[in-house]
Amino acid sequence: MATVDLEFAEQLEHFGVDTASECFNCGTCAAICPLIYEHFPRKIIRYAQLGAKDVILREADELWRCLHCGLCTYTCPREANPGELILGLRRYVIANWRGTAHVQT
Amino acid sequence: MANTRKEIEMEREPKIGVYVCQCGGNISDHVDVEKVCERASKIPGVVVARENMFMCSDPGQDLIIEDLKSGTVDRVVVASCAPDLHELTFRNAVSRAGKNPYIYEHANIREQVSWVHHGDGATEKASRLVAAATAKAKYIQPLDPIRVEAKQHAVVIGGGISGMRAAKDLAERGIRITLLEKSPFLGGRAAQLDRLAPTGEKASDLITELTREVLNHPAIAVYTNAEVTNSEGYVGNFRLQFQRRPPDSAEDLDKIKEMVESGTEFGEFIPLVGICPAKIPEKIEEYTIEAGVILLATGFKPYSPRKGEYGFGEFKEVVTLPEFIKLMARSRRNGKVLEINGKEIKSVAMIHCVGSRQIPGVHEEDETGHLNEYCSRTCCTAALQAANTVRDTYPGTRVFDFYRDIRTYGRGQEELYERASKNRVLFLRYEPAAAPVVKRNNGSNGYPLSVKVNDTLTFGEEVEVPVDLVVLAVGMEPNNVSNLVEMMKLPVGADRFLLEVHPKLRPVEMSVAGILLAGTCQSPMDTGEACNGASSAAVKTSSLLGRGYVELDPFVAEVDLEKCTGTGACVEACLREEALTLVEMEMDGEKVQRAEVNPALCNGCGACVAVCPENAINIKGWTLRQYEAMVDMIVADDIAVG
Amino acid sequence: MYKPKDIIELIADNVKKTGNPFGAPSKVINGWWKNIPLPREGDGLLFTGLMYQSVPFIEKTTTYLERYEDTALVNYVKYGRFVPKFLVGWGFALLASSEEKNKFNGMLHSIVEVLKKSKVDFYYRPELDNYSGILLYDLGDVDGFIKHARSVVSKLKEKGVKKLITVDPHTTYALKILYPKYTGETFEVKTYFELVNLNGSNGTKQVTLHDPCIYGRYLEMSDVPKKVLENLGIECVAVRNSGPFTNCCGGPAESVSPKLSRELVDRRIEELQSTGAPVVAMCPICMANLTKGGVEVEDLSTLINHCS
Repeated sequence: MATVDLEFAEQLEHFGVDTASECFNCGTCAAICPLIYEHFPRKIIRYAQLGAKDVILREADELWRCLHCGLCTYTCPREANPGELILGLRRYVIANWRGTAHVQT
Repeated sequence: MANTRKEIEMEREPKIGVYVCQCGGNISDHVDVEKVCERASKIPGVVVARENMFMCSDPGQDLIIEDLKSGTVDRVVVASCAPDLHELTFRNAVSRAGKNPYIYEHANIREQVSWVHHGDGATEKASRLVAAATAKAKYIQPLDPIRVEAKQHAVVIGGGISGMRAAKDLAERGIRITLLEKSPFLGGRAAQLDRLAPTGEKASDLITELTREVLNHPAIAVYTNAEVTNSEGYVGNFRLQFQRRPPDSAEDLDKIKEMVESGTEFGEFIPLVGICPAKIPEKIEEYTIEAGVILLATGFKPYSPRKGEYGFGEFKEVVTLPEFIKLMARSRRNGKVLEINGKEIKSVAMIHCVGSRQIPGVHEEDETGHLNEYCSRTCCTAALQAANTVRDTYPGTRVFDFYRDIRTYGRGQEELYERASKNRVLFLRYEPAAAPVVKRNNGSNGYPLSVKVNDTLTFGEEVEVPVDLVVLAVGMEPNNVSNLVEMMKLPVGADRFLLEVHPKLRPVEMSVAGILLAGTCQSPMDTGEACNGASSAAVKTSSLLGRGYVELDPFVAEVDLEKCTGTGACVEACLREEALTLVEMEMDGEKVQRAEVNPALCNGCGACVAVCPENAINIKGWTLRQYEAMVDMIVADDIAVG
Repeated sequence: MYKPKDIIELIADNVKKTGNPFGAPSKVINGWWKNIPLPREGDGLLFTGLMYQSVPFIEKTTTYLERYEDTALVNYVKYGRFVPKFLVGWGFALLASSEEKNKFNGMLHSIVEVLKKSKVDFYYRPELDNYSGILLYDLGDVDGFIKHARSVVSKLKEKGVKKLITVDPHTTYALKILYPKYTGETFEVKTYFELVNLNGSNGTKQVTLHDPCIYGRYLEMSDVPKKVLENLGIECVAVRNSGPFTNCCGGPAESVSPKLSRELVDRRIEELQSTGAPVVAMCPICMANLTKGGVEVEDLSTLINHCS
């Protein structure tokens, strides 16, 4: 079960991600992603929307599947910029691994 | 004099023309149309029997017109689709040939034959139906529509935005209006809103302006606290009785108290309530008015959730959307923090489809066994409008939107949905069978409630949202107008809303002539659509009354005074009050009682025909003799299918 | 799949120590300029970002990584830096074959030729030509990227460099888009083929041009190389998924999952080969990955050079 974290959206802004809430979960990104892997990246973006930090950190490795090819960002109907979201989440996760000061947990 | 000519015409042996339609294969693929024609041509009285690919096409209609003009035929039978579709088309064709449109008879060989039967049986049934129609046609009399004077006056029932819109439009066209409102206030439900979606304009501005126009218009008489007690008459000539009564509902009394305490004057807008135009009656006042048209604008009421439905009635932090709109409008006067019941609201959950789109077997029926299976259409937009107001006004308050489907249809409404996303409203989607569960939050996170849902957007995973307030986007239910339904014999849909004749072709008329629909008494709609409907009903009213008279179908009862003995059986059987009465008259120097028909009131149902011991009453265009002839012909094998 | 955490820390560590992701001194990697005449003064600085030169090293690394992916050895990446000792650094640098190195260095030589033929006023200084740090950015180590980018920028600024001529999409994207955003420094960045001004008529030659994601989508400049080839009489056959909708070659997955990288390149090769015309790439990573996938690929620079 995921519990919604009301503060997570603000936290993510420190990592250059401010478009998660634009997503309306249509799945275009998952359909066009060349990885064809388990609803990637839609699923992880949904967790970011919810602020399900625990799930994101638990499944963090999945973020590095992304090729940064940009197809999802180019085709996203809401300009939610999924590609950049993945990059931002990588930054968030790395900061968490490294225990960098400005990460709030 | 015209009658004399008609009688002479009819004394002659009838010359019946039969016209069989192929309906482009719809009929001819299963019915041997040629054979039907051949058989018809042998029926006594039939002078021509023709077929055509599409009788309703111009060349098809021209066949009929030419035969009538040349004098070849003087009665017309068309065998085609259901009369609903084209009876009027062919009657008009007869008129265009310069003949009486009622010398026409229709046989349905599509819906009743080719669509449901195949092979020889189909052709046989078609032949019998055509033969029966010719038998009836033989006894056809030319008829004239009934003309009734129309009172240049309309009654509008309901003083909400629809009723006032229609009243204003009609008054502008020179029709006198009596506007009746049950409560002490004008403005209806719209007056109880804050801002209207999608434009965001203030409901109070709109209502104030419209009410002022209505109250100041010399052709409009407004009665609040008014309820109809009796209705009789027919299109053009309705007679209504109504009462003004001192208000007795707790809600009305509270509002009046609020008005008095705030020092608001009559005619001034009271926020979230409406406008009280005049003194409230202290005792019952009785009125009677006559009107050509009745316009119903009786409106809706918000669905009231059951106790325990999403925690409603159990947790004080669960409110309906209309309540929330009011609470928020009041809180906004107090500054930057959304404060409700003295508590700061940091997190709001909105739940859609409460009391709408209910599914048998999934949702619980109300105490009368009803489910609201329809979509209330306005709640998605209203909920998102409220969500945007929260996010725009109180950036520190989060909104979580639990929906089944977002239906922000119509101009400018999808934009509200998009803006809600941009405003960081978080959407969670639930399946009807796994609705969100609202629970008391026992955790230490400071939020009194939590909403749990199997969120289909998170691939069905369970998601828990901590909240301060739960807002239920409740649907619309029609106001209870069972007294009017009973009084005026109004048709009601399975959804309990008043029912129009046809949703597309006659969208604001009821099947009772002269009674029209405006606004949400007809179905859930937003204020814009309600005004649309109201203006349409106004136009329809003015076209009905514009000629000064109304024309009714001539298929009404007719008494044969030669035979009538005044038993009164017909009057007793009559379903429509005052359509049939016993009147005194002189016959051969004697005073006798005889039945008399009021053609404008008669439904043409035939109940009187069945009970008359003397066979002294008939329905014009549908006489007993015609019925008998039809039945005889259906079973006359040698003629019909010989 | 390798643990991203281990790979990232490994690469971050290497960039910190040697200025490139491989842990070998940049001098060892960047030797292409020796033995050819290059001006040390001019208008635009040729800035390779070391991508072409690195490919033979990346290739060798991934061959080894691929061998161990999904085996117990994956876990050794973090323990005692098993992989670094074995695969990167000096020891590994020596493993890259000189044949491979010559191939990619040759492409840089072609670029120089093409610029000269187009009369472009350019110069080269190996000490200013550094790795851009793009891999750190892509992997999410934005702090490491910024630190590295600042050191690259300070060297350029010290010499008053304003104009840069890049040769690959990744370095171009880093310098053109990311550097201004993250270091606040803006250079006038042009890719070499934007400066090519050559005409010719190569008859009926047709090629299949593979658009890299960055040129096709991020920078939306696929038309430029097409136009260059057109001027030389070479026709680019239409490819399913090109321009802004081009498909990834799979190269960027190499560092974390060489296996995944293989799957993707197979899919792209099918699309490219269906045209029947020879395949041309303009990114060293695409070039390497497509080659590894078993298709013969020519670099845009050598094609232009041969046909002009």
